[in-house]
Amino acid sequence: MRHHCNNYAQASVTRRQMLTRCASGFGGVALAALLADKSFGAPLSQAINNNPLAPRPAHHTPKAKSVIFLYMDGGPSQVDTFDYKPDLAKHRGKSPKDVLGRVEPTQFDDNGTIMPSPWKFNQYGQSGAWVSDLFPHVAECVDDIAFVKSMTSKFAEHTSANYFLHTGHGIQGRPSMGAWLGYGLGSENDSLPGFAVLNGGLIPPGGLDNFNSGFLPASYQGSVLSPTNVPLANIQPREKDAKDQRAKLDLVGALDQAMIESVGGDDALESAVNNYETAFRMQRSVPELADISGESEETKALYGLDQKYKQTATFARQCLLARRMIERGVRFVELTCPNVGGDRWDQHGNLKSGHENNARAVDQPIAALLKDLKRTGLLDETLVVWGGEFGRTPFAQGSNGRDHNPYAFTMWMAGGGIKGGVVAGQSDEFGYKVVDDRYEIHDLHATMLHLLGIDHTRLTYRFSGRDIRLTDVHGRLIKPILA
Amino acid sequence: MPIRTVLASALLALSVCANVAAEDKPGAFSDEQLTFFETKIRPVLADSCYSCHSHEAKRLKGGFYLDSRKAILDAFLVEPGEVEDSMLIEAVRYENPDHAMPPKGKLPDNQIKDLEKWVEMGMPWPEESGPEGVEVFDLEARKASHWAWKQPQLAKTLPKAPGLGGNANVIDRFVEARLAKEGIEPGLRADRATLIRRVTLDLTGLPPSPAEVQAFVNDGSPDAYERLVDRLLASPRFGEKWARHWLDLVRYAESFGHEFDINIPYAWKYRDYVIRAMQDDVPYDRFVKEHVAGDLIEPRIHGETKVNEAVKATGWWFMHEQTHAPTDVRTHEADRIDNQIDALSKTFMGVTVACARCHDHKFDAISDEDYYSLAGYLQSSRLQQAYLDPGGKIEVAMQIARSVYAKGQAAFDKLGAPPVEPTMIDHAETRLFESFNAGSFNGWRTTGWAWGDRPTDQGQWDGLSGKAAPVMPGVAHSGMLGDQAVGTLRSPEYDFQDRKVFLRVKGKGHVRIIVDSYTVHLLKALLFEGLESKVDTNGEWQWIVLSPQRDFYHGNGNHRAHLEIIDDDPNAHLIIDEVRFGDTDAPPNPSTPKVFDSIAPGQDPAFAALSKQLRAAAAKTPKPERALAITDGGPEDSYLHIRGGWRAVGEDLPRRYLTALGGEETPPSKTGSGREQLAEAMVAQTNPLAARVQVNRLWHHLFGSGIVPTVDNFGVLGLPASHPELLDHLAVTFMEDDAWSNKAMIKRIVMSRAYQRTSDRGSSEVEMQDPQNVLLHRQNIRRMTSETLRDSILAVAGSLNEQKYGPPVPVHLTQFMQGRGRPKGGPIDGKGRRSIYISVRRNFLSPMMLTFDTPIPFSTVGRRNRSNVPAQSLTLMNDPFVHNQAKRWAGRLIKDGQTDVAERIAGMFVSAIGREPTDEEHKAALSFVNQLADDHRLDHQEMLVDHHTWAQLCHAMFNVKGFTYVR
Repeated sequence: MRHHCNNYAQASVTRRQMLTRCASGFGGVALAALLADKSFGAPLSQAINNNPLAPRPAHHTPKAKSVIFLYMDGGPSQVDTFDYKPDLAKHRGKSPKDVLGRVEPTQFDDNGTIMPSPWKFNQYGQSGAWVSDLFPHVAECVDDIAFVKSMTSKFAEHTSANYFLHTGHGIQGRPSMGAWLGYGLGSENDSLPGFAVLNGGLIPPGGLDNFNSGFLPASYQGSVLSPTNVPLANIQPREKDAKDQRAKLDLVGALDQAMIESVGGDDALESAVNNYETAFRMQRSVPELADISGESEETKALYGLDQKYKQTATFARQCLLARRMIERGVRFVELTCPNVGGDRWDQHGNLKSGHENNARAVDQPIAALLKDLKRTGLLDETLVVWGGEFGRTPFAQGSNGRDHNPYAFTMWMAGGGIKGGVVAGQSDEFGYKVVDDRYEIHDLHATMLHLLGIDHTRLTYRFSGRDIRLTDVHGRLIKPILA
Repeated sequence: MPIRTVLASALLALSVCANVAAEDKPGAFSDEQLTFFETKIRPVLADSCYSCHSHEAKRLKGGFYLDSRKAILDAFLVEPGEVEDSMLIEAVRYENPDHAMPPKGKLPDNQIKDLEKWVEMGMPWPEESGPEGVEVFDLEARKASHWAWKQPQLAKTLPKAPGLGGNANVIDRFVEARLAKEGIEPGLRADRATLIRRVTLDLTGLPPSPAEVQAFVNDGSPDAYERLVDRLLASPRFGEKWARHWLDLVRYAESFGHEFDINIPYAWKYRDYVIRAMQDDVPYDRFVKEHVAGDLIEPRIHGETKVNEAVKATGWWFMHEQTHAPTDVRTHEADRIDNQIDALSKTFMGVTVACARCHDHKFDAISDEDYYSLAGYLQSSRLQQAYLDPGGKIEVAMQIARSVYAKGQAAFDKLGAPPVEPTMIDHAETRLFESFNAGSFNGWRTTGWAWGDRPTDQGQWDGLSGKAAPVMPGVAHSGMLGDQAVGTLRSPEYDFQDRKVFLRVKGKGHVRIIVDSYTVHLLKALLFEGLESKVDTNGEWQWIVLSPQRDFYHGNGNHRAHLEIIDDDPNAHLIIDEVRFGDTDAPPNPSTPKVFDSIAPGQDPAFAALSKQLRAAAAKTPKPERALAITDGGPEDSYLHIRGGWRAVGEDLPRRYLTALGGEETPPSKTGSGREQLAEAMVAQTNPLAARVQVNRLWHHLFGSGIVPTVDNFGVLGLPASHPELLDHLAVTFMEDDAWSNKAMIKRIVMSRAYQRTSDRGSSEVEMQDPQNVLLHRQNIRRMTSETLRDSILAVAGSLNEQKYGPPVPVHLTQFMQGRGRPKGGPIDGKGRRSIYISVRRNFLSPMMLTFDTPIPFSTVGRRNRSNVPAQSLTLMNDPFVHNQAKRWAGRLIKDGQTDVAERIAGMFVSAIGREPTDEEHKAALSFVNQLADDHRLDHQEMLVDHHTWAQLCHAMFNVKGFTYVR
């Protein structure tokens, strides 16, 4: 019979030391660990036990390293932005039933008549893409953009649609896309969060759970940053004298080391101790990230930081910070919209002023982001995604608004692995329903993961008896937009 | 048979007949029809469908095949001859966005027309041998092959372990026999200081006080540890700790989440219920029954609250999410029921029944019929805000009132009242739903006291008239015994089709329609106006019209509704004469029938005296306590939703428990939901899951891992038990010897040597052999849970507010917590209350709790994540709550006036980590203090009373792992 050492307190062998000492034993321990813990779906789970944020190999060669998701909260109208429908003018004022045939239930059940877009559309670039006057700056970038004009969602109500867009499920409590990417690929930066949400002011309906890690470990949850000098909760030391905090952490470190030795080593304890050093570094790296004083005046102006319209300046700062984040290896950056006073992109009434204000806030900064990424070469390794949780009806709600329309809407992508200047899918002549190449949110997710080097059918996590995927049991690639 | 399913069954019967006809006559199709199939249909199916829905598909989608006639019929995708009722046609027409097929794009119109024609022909298909490879779902075989479905047994002979006698704890005999077999010698008992800290934190969620540590360390008596355990089990802090574990299972929340994060009224009553039940050690089988059917079973009146606690248990059913504006309320209902079944099955049975919503379970012995059989219990139940009677005082007052009334009625009977005609409403444009003229409630159900046990009848005395006056017959009356009594009257369920509901009422109250059990609009109407109306008719009869503003309820059928007539006003009553349905204007007011003012004026003074007595009795009726709860509706079975969608109607499934657990033998109730029978089945001694699952949960919280590590899933995909015989033995012991007492089982576990062992690592060899400590050669080191961490900070700082129960303290809101439904924030320190009392609003969860892994309340989480992230360090380093508590602790230390620095530091260590510092630790802490004093140029006396200096050390103590971890 083998024996424990008589004195546990002196058995100062950590597992790591043990592994190094007994090289031949490695296989045994690894195998034992593998057999003992089958609670995770993929072998990946072994890796995340040790260091959840360590970079991990992709399934195939990735086209992009990071994602910037420009989240247009509320549901911008496809027929007023990028999906030009001249036929609507012919039917102006007619009853939707007469023109469209079957009309699906709408949220407010207050359907007016067919309403053509109040904005002019023109063709831009080599590709001749149609863009409305809402997006004059983005119009300059259309040759880098692939439009998907046949997006659909399962939900006509904000919260469920937001959860669906972010997590692939219309309910609360599932991991967000950024969390899935962190789980799949780890992080390239050990002092910044791998999944960051730059909050322009509006938290989408459904709340912070749109950015949560669900049943995945909390390591992957989105960190909400505000585009201010204190971007992250608890990032600022409260000690007046920086020396005090350092001295304190040194004391804590010494006491912790004594404990680790006394228990004979423990991975979780060691990780917890290491986290203090990471946290300490984050106190520097996060404010450094937020400090844009080193950027040139030209760059700041390009983004629109000098704009008098406050919301444009806010979103400009968000876009600039997004670039600074992906430069530093942040995996997934989501931008939420500034509050333009009226409402998010959710114009149940006053479409004209509401969409104009929302577009005014984001147009120049988005175009600047694309141009800046391109000139720095970062666009090749960054996937930029633009869109909302659904689109809007081609007929009015009341007299001058539009209700939610999940049956056809437009999203676009640009950057790593994306073929610029193309269009995938098609909506009917009213932009109401899809007639060709129907894509679902699951397809969007499958495509995003694919571009990041992940096969969406193989990225699984076992939770309550199922190997769960971001794409559930669905998802196919949006091939026409792939380079 | 419930109305909702009549049509469905009729359709099904038709389709079955049609199938039989076709199957019976092979070759019944003409050559022309078959040619049509081969040229127009099969190519379309092959080109557009078979890549996902055939035996050649790389991955079968949706779980159904389209490559044989039988497969299509079996999946109910086509009703031969019935184009409009065939899902296949609905799918290719893109009528339903949930299953518009093919997904890539709509088929050309001519192909859709061909498919319609083919269905109309009766689905011609040549005889051919079907494709192979369909896996048959065999419930009995699955049941027979998986351990969890088998009855747990006591071990026939207890295993022998070296050095353990016959009186040894059974747990140790199993654990140590196994260790001996593997050749591993277990670790020693933890030292006393470690032990008291561990067991105090595990049982109460708070650290032991320095005095408690000292007393235990110095107590040499052999039963010192057992006395400690008994004290902790009896501690008033025990219930708060173990209730929080339970709340993780039932997705406890106080708001519904989604866009507006609407409040769940009285949710916290459920939280208090759980704390009391844990504290009082309500036997677990009773506890389960109260959860499932506490409104139906024998009451359990609590000594302190004086009300029937069992009713409050049922509040957990409604801790699901809800949105404020679903476009399809019926789907929303199905989703809510899905969440209820999910939480029910994981929490109480440790299996994942919700996996069987759309298909038979992929791995376990659970069919989709099982799922919808359970769904029927919920379709037969309603949300209520229960009326509870503190100390039975309402009942006493009502009894006195009833006996006074009975005297008056007897006197009135003697007078021989002439009959009074009930109101007769003759209005062809509307149809009668209820006249209340039948002398009974006719399927209407009451809660509370106001509505009595039947509507008024001929010759009934008007008890409050002060005269010999009869009351108007044929009305439901909430004030027969005075205004004080409150209560709700619920109608039977009906098919919701008419645009308007007309209610002829007099008095004050609320009337409302509940469609598909959707109730959020009652809290925030928004888009759902017109379903509820406040009533105040100023003493006149009036038609109240309820008319939903939205169209979703109409036209697409299959919506079920009921009416609720509410009198919650202790100073008013409501009378309802008639309910009618229709699409037109309100019916005209009928001429009010003559009701006699007094039939014997000479007798009036005697009646006036009785009326006075009646009023006096009623005036003593106290206010009821309210609670979130469930109540019965009419019995209603669910039909099978084919592939999970409510529009695809399958067969009717009687309510029953899981087939694998003898569910077929439970006859469903004919009068109500039958939840009490379900509850009995769930905790029957013959049920193998109930006790095993609960014992395993208790074990999990005391060792950090269950005997079955996947505590919510005992199914095939769960992990196997590390000590299966032990788990079985304990499960039987729990049911029999311990009579389902959680505290008795917890005591068994913490009294074991296995629990008391050191958590320090063993020799390399031992750790190699059992690296994950599956065999329990030692205890596990565990990080404190989020609640224990925060509560311990409060306790050590001396800020803990021991107040128990009551409405939640609002969560502190930071600038990062934004969004719709943002509540009023609370103080940073949560008033010093334990974390279980801080509000749980779905969209505004406490960042500190989330960071340290309190689960998001969406489903059962019996095993929390154990993340280990820098955000945790940042919280403890920089969060104002932690800093403030460090300052408070420092203030207390200075006030205590210990001037010996070494003693002061030693005391701090004992407070925070439960033991005195080693020399090195002491030296490190002392030099830290001295360094700070030097930096700030303080002499010794100044240093002793310097808040800043000591707050730094206090803050450091909250950050050391010796504090945040349990050894």
